[in-house]
This record gives sequence, structure tokens and C-alpha cells, in this order.
Amino acid sequence: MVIVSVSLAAVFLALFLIGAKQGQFDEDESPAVRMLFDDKKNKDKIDT
Amino acid sequence: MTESCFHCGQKIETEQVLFDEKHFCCAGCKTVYEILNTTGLDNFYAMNSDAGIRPDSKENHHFQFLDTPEIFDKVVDFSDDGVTLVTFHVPVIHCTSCVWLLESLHEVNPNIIYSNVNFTQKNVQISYKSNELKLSEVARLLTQLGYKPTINLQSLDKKASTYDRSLILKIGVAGFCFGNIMLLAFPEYTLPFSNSTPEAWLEGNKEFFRWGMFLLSLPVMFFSATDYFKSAWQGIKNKYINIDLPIAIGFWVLFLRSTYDIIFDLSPGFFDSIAALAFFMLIGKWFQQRTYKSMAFDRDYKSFYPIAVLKIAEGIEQPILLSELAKGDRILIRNEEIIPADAVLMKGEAMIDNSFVTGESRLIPKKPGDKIFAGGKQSGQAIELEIIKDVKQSYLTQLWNNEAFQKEESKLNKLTNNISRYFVITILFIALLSAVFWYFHDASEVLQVVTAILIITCPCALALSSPFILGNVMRIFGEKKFYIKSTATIESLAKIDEIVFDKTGTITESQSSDVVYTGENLSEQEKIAIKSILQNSNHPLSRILYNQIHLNELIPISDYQEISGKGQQATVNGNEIKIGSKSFVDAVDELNLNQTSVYISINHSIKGKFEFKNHYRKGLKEMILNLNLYKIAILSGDNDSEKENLKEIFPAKTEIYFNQSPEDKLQFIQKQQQKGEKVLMFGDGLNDAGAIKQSDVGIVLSEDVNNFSPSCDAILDAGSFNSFPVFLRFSKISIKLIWTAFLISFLYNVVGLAFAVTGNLEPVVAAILMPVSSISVVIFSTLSTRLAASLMKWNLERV
Repeated sequence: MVIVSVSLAAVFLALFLIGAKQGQFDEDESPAVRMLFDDKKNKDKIDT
Repeated sequence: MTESCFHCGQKIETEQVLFDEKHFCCAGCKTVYEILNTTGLDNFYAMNSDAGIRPDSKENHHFQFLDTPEIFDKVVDFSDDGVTLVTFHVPVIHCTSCVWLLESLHEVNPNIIYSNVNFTQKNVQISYKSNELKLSEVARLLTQLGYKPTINLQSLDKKASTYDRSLILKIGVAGFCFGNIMLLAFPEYTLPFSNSTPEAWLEGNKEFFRWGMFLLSLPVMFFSATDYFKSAWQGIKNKYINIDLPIAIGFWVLFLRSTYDIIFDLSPGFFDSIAALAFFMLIGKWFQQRTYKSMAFDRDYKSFYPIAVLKIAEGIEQPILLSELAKGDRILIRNEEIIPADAVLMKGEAMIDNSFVTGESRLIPKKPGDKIFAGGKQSGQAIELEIIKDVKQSYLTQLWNNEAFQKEESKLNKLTNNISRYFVITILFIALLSAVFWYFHDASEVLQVVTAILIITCPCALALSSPFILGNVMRIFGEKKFYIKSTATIESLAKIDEIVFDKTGTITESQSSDVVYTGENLSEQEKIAIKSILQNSNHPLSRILYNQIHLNELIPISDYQEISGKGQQATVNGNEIKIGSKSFVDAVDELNLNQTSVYISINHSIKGKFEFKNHYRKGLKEMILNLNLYKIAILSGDNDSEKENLKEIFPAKTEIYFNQSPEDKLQFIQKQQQKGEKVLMFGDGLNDAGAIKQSDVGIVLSEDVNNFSPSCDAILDAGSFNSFPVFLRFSKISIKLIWTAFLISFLYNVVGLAFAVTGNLEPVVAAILMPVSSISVVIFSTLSTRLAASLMKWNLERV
């Protein structure tokens, strides 16, 4: 059981490290802002 | 006219443009609105009102040089098959609307494929079809929208700036090990609380748990915590005790004792504490580090120079890279451009604004044959220069190479390190005493007790308190537009005895000057006539004067003539009006040698003159009154025409010096420092750069924080100038808070010591006490600084 849980955690750590290496945590402001923008074209479709 | 501009939200002062039933402060703002409206991007205004940035209208932007192949290659990231990728640094990015607009560029111009904003670094990466669109046009489009990209020498040099990710990796590893070690350590935590003999399964699996923890602690020791060991080792090598030394000792004693314990089956060891400490301390470090990623403090003269100049060879103008500029080259400098190297004026009338170099704000006229120093800014018509010195050997560059700039930055965490020195000595003393005591009492326990003392006193809470408090203070200052380079600056700020102000651009506003008219009164009609004439001139003085005459009417003029470097004349309603220099209007004026002034004559008789005076910042006097605890001095590169005014504003004992060259300023600071004063230099950047660097704390006051940040310790936004005394007071309070936090962590240490000295330190006690002390110090630091900040009376113009 312990080995299972530790290795599971190790998998998550590995994923985190890969993410960090690829620059996922380099910029933490504009993506948060970006997702709030409405996609203009889609919005027009809904409106009409 | 108190209407605010629909686009940029600034008060409409000089002119008002009405378009689409909306008010704009200038044609630039109107243009942006037009572009946005016609491309269906008017959503921009729905997100944040007044989000727009007023495009800089006074400068003529020349981006053609970007199309020269060599320069193009240096600027772009990638270009192939008609698609080009380029990254521009745009300092004005400040809100969600900016991001939205800049990422919608492809709607404005179909040849732009996509654009991507990095908010933290204030960069925008644009991919566009370079067959259809020139790079200069992309730059111009951004400028038109108010997002002028900064392209200078430095942005070329630092192309490949890699972001250091090692800290976040270390935190990840430490966090992982911490969690899993806790899991393995937990079963044995229950032991001290159960009276009966350990359960059979725990006895059987003990070895597995313990060696599992040992294995998991290895990455913490040999990866996550390595920074502390390196720093401690550095300290020892330089015969200097820093806070990292006791921490490193703590880590190693913890690790070795734990390993010893599990080998001889004495206790489960302290591996959980190792991982917890590493994790919390790394988080503290990360918190400190991320506060000001985007501020570039280490700029030098390069960031003030353009990357390209127009070289004239055989009558052809051709943009070349500044680095290729050689002695003997002829170059063309246009209005508002900076002279990149010492040169001789060949052609044209130069009006040089040397405020960058000497601090003197008035324009200096130069005739062909005169020498012009690098760093001056041309106002008016285009001039031709011949370079006489390399860029690297120019006066300005040499100023930057002064030894004050070479001095080693070793101000890190003085306070913490001083304390840790006594701390280490005290701890070693206590450890020695108890060792002696236990040697006579029960010799077998000596090693146990001594290691327990070293473990429990590991000053992690101590080490955390100062980064958290100072990091938080830095953040609070940042919110109030006072940007500090490092936390050590706050400590230095609290110790300042003397404040030295530079005059031009610091206590006076560089952008605006007061215009005072002396002479015969001008009638309304005459004023209108003057304004109508001024409208035709692009001379900087004409522009200021034009904006100062608050009349909206304009009348037609005839026979307009502008004689560059002298003045202008025209006929209005049959009257011949001359506006210009003293010699131009044949005026005789003995009193006026130092002032910049413009004379008016109507029909050959002198009416009077407009004098341009320094405009002192609003609230300057009150601010100075709040600084009564400090010694104050003023250094001015200007002449002494303002002496009386200054005496009125500043307290009587203020030392005031005029005609100070950059070297003089530097020497003044050195002199005061030799007297033992801690000097704060308050300047505007370049001409006092040496003094700023030499001072204990150098602060640059800036109208535009992002555009003007040379090597200094802090940058203060002009809007927050009046709260300067509050910042000083707050930094003193924060030092007191650090002492309080130290006290708290000492209390924990005393409790821990009681356990350790009596030989009762169980791993579970350490596992509770150490994180609790760290966390409570962090909570105290965060809450107390926030509370203190909300109690201060901030005096801000704009927040």
C-alpha cells in the first residue's frame, strides 16, 4: 500500500517537474486574464 | 474643461477633440478609438473604462531602420517562408484590456497571424506575414494604438534571457518528499502517547518505514537544500557568518543524527523535520523572489540609446546599427532623438537638451562646429553630426563606467546576518555548557543532547521572518508605486540620516514648466494672434507656449516665416508680430542671463517676454516638512536662478549647491558618507547616476516607471512622490516588525531548548514545534505588515 501511494505521488511529481521544465509556471498572469475574453465570433452567433 | 478623455481617462486640458459624440484629449486617442471602432474591437471599452493609453503625439516615430536586413535579423526571433515571429517589449501593458487588445491585433490588421502577450514580462510576441507587412509597420501599428515598443541596444543584448526554474523544481521535490515522509513517520508519532507496548505490526515494519524516510530525505538534502549549503560555505570561505550557516548546520546535524538513530535503532529520526523545513524555507524564498520579476533594475546607458542611427554616406541616408558606428561617420539626428556618441555639429541648428547628462533643463543652442556630447537630445530640426569618439568612449558612457558602478553589491540581509552571528555564538555556547553538564551527569547522553540543541535551535523561523516581512513590505510599496530592487534596500532605508535631492526632474517636474509673462499687458486679440502663429511651429518652446495660452479661437495669419534657432514672424491683422530669441526681436535685457525665455515684439516694439520657470511638484513643501528628522541637501546641475524659490520651500539649514556636474554630485555623496552619514540620493536618473549608485539608497523618481529605470535601488513613481516620508516611516516600522518576529522565534527556541537541554527531545516534539514556529512567524509577518500598511496615511495622487 505504502509503495503504491508513494509511487503514485512520484508520478505526480514527475508530471509537475516536466510541466515546470516546459515553462508552464513561467507566466501566471495573462492566461488567467485571457480565458475571460469572449470569443467574438462565437458571441455573434449566439446573439443572432 | 473638466471632461475626461473617453480613451485614456486623462483630464482634457489643452485641446478637445469631439468625435462620435465622445470627448478625446488629443488626436492620438481619437485615432485609437477610430481604429478600434472600425475593426469591431470596441469591446475594449466595455472591459475597463479609461483603459486606453494616450499615444505619444509629440514624437515622430521612425521605425524604418527596422527594415534594414541586418537590424531586422537582430530584432526578430524567427523568419522563414514569409512568416516572421517577433517579440517586442511594451512597458505600458497594465491591464486586462491591454492584453485583450494586443491579442486581437489580427482583427486590426489581417496580415498579423496571431499575437501573444506575456503579462509578467510585458512582452508581446507577434507572428505576421512578412511578405505583406513590414516590421516597421508592425511597430508603427503598436505605436498608433498607444503601445510603443521599446527597441534599444539592451533589448538586443539580452535576447536569450533564460528564466531560472530551478527554485520551483526544488520546491516540488521538497514538497513531494515532505508529504511522503510524513506518511511514513506518522505511525511512530503515536508511540509516545500510548502506554502499552508497541503493536506488533509497527515493530515489524519499523525498519521499512525508517529506511523509506531515509531514502526520501536524500533528494531534499542533495537537491532541494543545496542552496543553503552553498551560501553557508561561501560565508565560511569569506570568514563571515550568515544566516545560512546555522541553517546548514541544522540540516546536517538533523540528517546525520537521524541516520545514526535509525542505524542503531534508537528513534525514528527527524527526517520529517528536515523535509518540512526545506519545504517551508524554499517557499519563503520563492515568495521573496517572485515579487519583482518584471522590473529591470540593471539597465545601463545602453537602454537609453537607440539601436540604429541614420548614417549619411555619399548623400544617401542609411540606417546602421549603433554598434557599427565608427569615428568619422556622418549621422543624421532628428527631433527628439538622442545623440549616441560625442560628435561635432556639421549642419543645422541644434537645440540640445542635456538634462540626461548634466541635469540642466534649458535648451542649449549649438552652431555648426560646436562639440556635442553623447546623451544630449535634439529638439527641433534634423541635424547632421560627425562622430569624433566611439560610443563606448563617450563622456556619458565613461560616467557609467565610474568605479561607483563597479562596487560589489553585498548588502544582502544585513540585519538577519548580524543577528545570526550572535545567534550562532550563543547556541554553540549553550551546547558546550550542556555538553559539560551531561558529561559529568550521564556521559552516554552527551551526543544526544548536543545534537538535540543544534536541531531545535535551527533558526528557520528566524530565517523566514525577514524574507516574509520584507517581501511583503516590498509588495505593499509596489502597490503604492514605489518599486524596490531588493529587500536589503528596506533595511537601508530605515537607517538613512541624510536625504540629498537632485533638482531638475526630481523636485521640479521635468515635463512641464511654469511660463511667466513679464512686460506690457497683452490684449486678448494679441494673445490670439500669438497663439495662431505658434500653431505653425514645432519648436518645443512654441509647443509649451501654445498650450499655455488658454484661448480656443484661432485667426488666419499671413507671411509666416520661421527662422530656425531664432524665432518666427508673421503678419496678423496687419500687425507684424515676431516671436523668438532676444537677438531676433532686438531686445535689450540685462537681467536675463540664465533663464530660458521667448520674446514678443509687435510692429518692432518689444512687448515683453515669456519666461520658462521650473515647476515644483505639488505638495513639495508639505512633504519636506514631514522629513524634518533628516538632514536635507539639494544638488542642482542648473544655474542658481532658482535659489530664492528653493530657500522658501526648504528648511533654513538645507545645504543647496548649484552648477553641480555629475562628478560633483558623486563626490558630495562620498564626502557625506565619509562623515559616517547614511545618505539617500533622490534623483531622476542619468546625470546623477553616479551619485545614485554611490549613495546608500539611490532612488529614481520617474514619470514613467518603465521607461526610466537605470541602476538604482528603487524607483518611485512621480504620482507617489508626496508619500515619500510615509515610505521611510513604513520601512522603519517593518524593521521593528522583524525584531518582533525574531522575538517570537526566539521564544519557540527557548521552549525547544528546554526540551533539548534536559535530554527529552523526541522526534515528534521536533516535528510539531519546528513547523509550528515557522508557520506562526509567517502568519505574524504577513498579517502585521498588512495591518501596518492599512494604518499608514498614504498620500497618493493616483493609485
